[in-house]
Amino acid sequence: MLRWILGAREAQGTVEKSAALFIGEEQPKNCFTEMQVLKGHFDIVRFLVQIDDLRFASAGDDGLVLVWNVETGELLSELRGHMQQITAMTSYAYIKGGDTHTALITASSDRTLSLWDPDTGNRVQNVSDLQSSVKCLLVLDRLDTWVSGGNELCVWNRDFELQCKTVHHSDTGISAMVELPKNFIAAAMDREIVIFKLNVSGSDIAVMAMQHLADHQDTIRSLINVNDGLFASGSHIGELILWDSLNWTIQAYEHILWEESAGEGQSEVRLTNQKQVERSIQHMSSDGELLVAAVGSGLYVYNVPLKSVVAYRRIAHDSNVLHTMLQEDGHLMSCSEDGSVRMWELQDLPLPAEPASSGLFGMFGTFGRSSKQVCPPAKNLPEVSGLRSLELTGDLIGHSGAVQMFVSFKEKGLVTCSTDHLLIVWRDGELQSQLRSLAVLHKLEQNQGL
Amino acid sequence: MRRLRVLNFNTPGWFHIETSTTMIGSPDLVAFTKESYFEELPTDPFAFPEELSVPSYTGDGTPWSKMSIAKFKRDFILLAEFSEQVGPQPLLTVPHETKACGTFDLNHFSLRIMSVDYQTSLAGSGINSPKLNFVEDSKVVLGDSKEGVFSYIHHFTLYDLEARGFVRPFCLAYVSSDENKIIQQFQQLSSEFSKVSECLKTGNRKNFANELEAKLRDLEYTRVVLLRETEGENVFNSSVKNTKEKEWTLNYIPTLERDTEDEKLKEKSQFHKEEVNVQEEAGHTRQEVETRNCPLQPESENTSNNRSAVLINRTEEQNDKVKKEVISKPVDKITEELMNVEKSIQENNSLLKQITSYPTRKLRDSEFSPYEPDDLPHSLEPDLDDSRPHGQFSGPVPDCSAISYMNTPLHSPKLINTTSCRRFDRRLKTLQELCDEYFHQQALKQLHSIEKTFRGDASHIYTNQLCQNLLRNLKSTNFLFEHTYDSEDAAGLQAGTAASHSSIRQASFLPAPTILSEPASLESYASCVEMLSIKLELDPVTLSRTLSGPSDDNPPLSSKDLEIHGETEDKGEVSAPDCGDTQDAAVMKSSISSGDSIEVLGTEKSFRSESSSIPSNTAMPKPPPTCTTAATEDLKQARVPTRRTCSEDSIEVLSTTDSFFPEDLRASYPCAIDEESPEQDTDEKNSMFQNQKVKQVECVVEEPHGCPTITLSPPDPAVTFPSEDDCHASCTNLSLLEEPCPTVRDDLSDCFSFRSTTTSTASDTFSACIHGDKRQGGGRQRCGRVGRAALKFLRQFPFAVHAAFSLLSGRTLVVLGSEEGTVRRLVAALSVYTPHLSSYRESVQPWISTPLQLTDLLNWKLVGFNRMCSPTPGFPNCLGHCSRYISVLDADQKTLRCPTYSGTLINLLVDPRSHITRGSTYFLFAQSVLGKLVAHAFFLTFSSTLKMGTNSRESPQTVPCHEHLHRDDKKILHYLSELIKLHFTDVPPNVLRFSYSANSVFKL
Repeated sequence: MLRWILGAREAQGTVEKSAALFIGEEQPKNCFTEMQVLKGHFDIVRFLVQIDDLRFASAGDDGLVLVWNVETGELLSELRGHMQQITAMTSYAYIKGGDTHTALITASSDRTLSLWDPDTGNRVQNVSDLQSSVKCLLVLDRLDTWVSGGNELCVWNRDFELQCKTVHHSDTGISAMVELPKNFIAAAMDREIVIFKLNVSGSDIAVMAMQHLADHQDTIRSLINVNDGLFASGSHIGELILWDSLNWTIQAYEHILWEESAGEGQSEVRLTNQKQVERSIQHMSSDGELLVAAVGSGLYVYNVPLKSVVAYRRIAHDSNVLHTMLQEDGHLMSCSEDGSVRMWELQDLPLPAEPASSGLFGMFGTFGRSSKQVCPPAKNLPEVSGLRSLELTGDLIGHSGAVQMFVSFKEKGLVTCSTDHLLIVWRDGELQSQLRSLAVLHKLEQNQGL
Repeated sequence: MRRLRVLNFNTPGWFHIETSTTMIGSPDLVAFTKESYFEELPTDPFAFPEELSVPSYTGDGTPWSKMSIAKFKRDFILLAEFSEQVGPQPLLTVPHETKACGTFDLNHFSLRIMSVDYQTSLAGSGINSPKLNFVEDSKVVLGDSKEGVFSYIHHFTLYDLEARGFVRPFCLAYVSSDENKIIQQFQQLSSEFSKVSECLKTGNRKNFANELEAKLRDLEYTRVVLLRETEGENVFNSSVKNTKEKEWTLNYIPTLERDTEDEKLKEKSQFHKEEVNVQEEAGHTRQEVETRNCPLQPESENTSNNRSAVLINRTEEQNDKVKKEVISKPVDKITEELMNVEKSIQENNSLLKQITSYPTRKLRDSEFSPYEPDDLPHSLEPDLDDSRPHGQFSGPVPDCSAISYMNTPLHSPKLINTTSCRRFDRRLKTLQELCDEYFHQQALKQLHSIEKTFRGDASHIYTNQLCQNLLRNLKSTNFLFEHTYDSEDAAGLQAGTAASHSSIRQASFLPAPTILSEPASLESYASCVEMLSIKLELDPVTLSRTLSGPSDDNPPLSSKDLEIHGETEDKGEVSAPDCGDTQDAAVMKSSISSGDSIEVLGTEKSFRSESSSIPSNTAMPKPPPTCTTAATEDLKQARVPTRRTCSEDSIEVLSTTDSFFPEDLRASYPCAIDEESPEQDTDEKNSMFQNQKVKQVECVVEEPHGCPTITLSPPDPAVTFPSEDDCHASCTNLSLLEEPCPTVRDDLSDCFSFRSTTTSTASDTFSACIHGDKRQGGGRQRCGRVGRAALKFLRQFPFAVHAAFSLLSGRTLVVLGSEEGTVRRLVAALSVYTPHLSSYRESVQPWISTPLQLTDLLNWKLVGFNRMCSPTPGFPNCLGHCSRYISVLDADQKTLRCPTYSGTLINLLVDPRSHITRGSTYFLFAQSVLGKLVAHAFFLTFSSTLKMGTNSRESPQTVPCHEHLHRDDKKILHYLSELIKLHFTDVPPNVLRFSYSANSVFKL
């Protein structure tokens, strides 16, 4: 187990600050030069779910689920029915008549679960009067079932029939779930990860708690699958644990502490000089090899096979990072409560021999919490082995509230949703211009000339 | 020695007709068509397509009009009348005489142009009943090169019951010192004046029908009185008084003085009093006019009927007087009179039938729509126009619809002395009396707008028309900077060129700038709804009436019916359905008041105003006249035979003595009679440019003093200008929207007047100016004003080019300031450089005080922002939030924050600041530079598209010819190109395009 204390010296900090926060207006690498604002929600928009190549659904605190066309920005349908805010939404692919259809499952604070057909806008199924409101949903395609997590875990079949459920666990309930191999499910409940097993016999499914993993010191905020063999969890105090998916043992334990200098406290509470600050891991994403974690207002990129940090930004945003995404070629995106989306690129440090690491990985004997079990001091990694820098390549500014989430449609654009009730589709202006030229060409052919 | 020029619009090339009389000598020659007309044009492969080519100027010297030798100061419109009492006389000029005419002898001129008499024959012509001739207008060009006077003359007639032959000949003339202007603009002038004349004639028919109805009622009443008289002589031989009382009870006439126990009657008199008061006010101006204009007015008022201004008690006294006269007459005289009255009734009935069966064809023509149902308050507002000289109109104008409808309930039958029925020594009605007030006002408005449209140099008008025409053919790019908008698209509901006209006009009358440019206000929606609902609820009535009314060819007009009619009317509490317990009465009603169908245009509005002005429990003795297209169509269908007897477009009255009847004309002018069926009409309307069928316009050459005349026929409008109607529409549009300006020659004085404008006045002018200029397009004044503002801006800010760059590359420019006038002025200046996003959206917001949203940037490209509305002093938060997407010009601190421009393309725009001094010159210059940019962008758009088409999806890099351009210039072109693409593919611009570029701050 390892504890990373990531900080920066004064000099480094100023460099980082200027580089991170003031990229300037000239952003040659930023291809998003066109935006379309989608209005429709009346409250915070929290969830975006891609339905297919063309459509996505948005949902939030107004209880509305809106289906949009990403290319035109057209509002395709409004799914009305929930009385209170939406707490979870997922897409659900099923096969009907040889074709694959995609439906939407939504959960709301009004303790209902609904299945929607986004093509027609109809509520196909509805379950109400649940014992608790559902906080997370997980579709198990292999079993053609889906699981809802609230205060208890319920297993449903495709016809919205409850197959089985667990006993009432705690009032905090299940906050996140991932599917593990061999019909296991990992569910995050407060500080524990509970492993459930689904016993499938014929058409009957039974669920059973197998193990409680209680290694986190604080509430688990994030739980994701890294690859077939590993899953990861992150806690409120910056603990990042990699677990083996099969035997649920800890593969790596990192405690990320941001070093805080008195001189450069940004928006955070001013602390004493050189104080280490724990920051919550809000969100994680992974492509199987790299794992990016949103830690406070910073970003942290971890190489899973090497079990080492690749790059990090202590202050990537002005405020907490809410969502991250890893793209190919070492590009990543993050959005934050500060209302911006930032695009980053992993770049090799210009001078590998730069002895910045001594400062970067200073070892400290004191820890954030005295009550906690004291880990052995972090071992000093081989200097800058594969350490790269995280360079800001562009930012998208438009929302006036926190950007809750975003979904990328590759070349079709990027959709962001925000507390300012708006959705924005960001598109590649060049590409769109070409598409419009094609449209003009088409029209010219139709009209036989001008 | 006078010269008379005759213009031929029929045969191409040169033409002239010489008519020699003692008065007329050798005429001038006039080249009407292009000289190249006969030449076979060589087909040049590089030539522009026909619709885009501009005929090169072939004249010698300057294209401007030669110095005029005319005695008047500027071109004007003259309305003259051939009075049967005093002969030809000028009635009014637009603009006012003092402004335009100088030493020009209007009386003499009127004499010349009014030399054709339109009298129709009446009694004594061998026909039993008098016949109305629906004489079409004649259109004439008259020139006098010696005096330097050239004019387009439009003759028309109005009906007047008291006039000889029931007609009053009038004429409208556009008098110019430039013959080219008349020739070039003949088509436009003709169509414009036709509208005016149509408007006057419609109003006149309405009044005429009312008058006839009233007279019929009087006659009926007289007849009844006379009948009683004869009976009374035979049976009772009693005293005069008895008879009189009996009559009163029979006829039951309410009066102000009469005391009755009847409660209802009291109420009614009360109401009458109110009405009378209203009328007194309303009639005030008119009476003034009467007394002033007509000193000859005889005192024999008792025979004049249907005078709205006549008060009831007065009428009453007169009636008594007449009755005494009648009663005291011997029996045989009475019988004779009775016969006279009956004959007179027949005659009047026939007249009424004729007037009501006037072909409704004209009304259906969308080209002519004098009635704007929702703008009555506007149209009746005293026009604040500069040239508003006519004393009689300058006062507050009474609500005409109220008057015209209160007429009828007020009218009480009078005895008519048949012997003095037609007297020619009485004063004649003024034009205002002849024509319904509303239509009269409309016509005057139109005249003023015509005057404005054709004001100025002929070549200027011609160039404008050419420009408009060219722009119309550049549909893919003309929306960007030009002040035209596609009226056909905008009209939506109406098809065709002709329709565009009225639609523009309607739009221009709306309180909001246009419905199209902005989301319409709630009020306008409300008013629309209101209108619709009224229409709907009237519809069934209309239909039923159309079914019953017009089919009744020979309405039974027995005395009994009439009595019923009179009673219901007098009780004043019953409307048509209520009195319909006897079928006869209903039928009679619809037929007798079928004058309504003439007033069809008036309906919605008058109905509304009527219902609002009259207490609910009182009567609407006449069923509300209604208007729907269906109704008029039905009427039209029903009356085709009638229509046939009426003369068509090209019928002329050639001589002074007798009028022709259509039958005669059909023989002599077969082609002219060839009238178009309604279906053809619509077809014609729909096909806009090509099928524009040449209207048969006649050119009558007339000499003063009844000399021989020559009739020529139709011109080919294609020779002069293709699609003039369109040009025309926009011209009218411009002129209508033009602000009133006291100084006529604005252009000459613009530089100086601008200097003196204070901030407060400037803000006013600019508010209006900005409102209109980009969208509705302004006249020269507006161009000048905006150009001046732009020039001033250029002089004030050396970094103006960067601001222009922001605007031209689609980056919203916010003018931030605390003083509204300054901000508005700057916005006006910068609006020169602001491309429109599409035809429908307003991209300029001169002054806003609400925080700017991200979504606003999509539509608003130039925004005046009130600094004071921000809670924090200094830089408003909302602007900081959008700072990436906006440039900010701080009017208070004289700073500009925006990306730097380092290209070359638009340098020209700001270069000439030292050379050009006049606003309009700069405006036009800027337009030309921008036009070049647009051409570039057009090329970029379509050439790259085509290239893409050939190379399939291969990366369509910029076209080679654009590669040498600077990055900033490419930005401009690409932005314009994107707008063109969106416009071309009919995609509303709903995305915000931006670029990541560094901002600089420029400081004075």
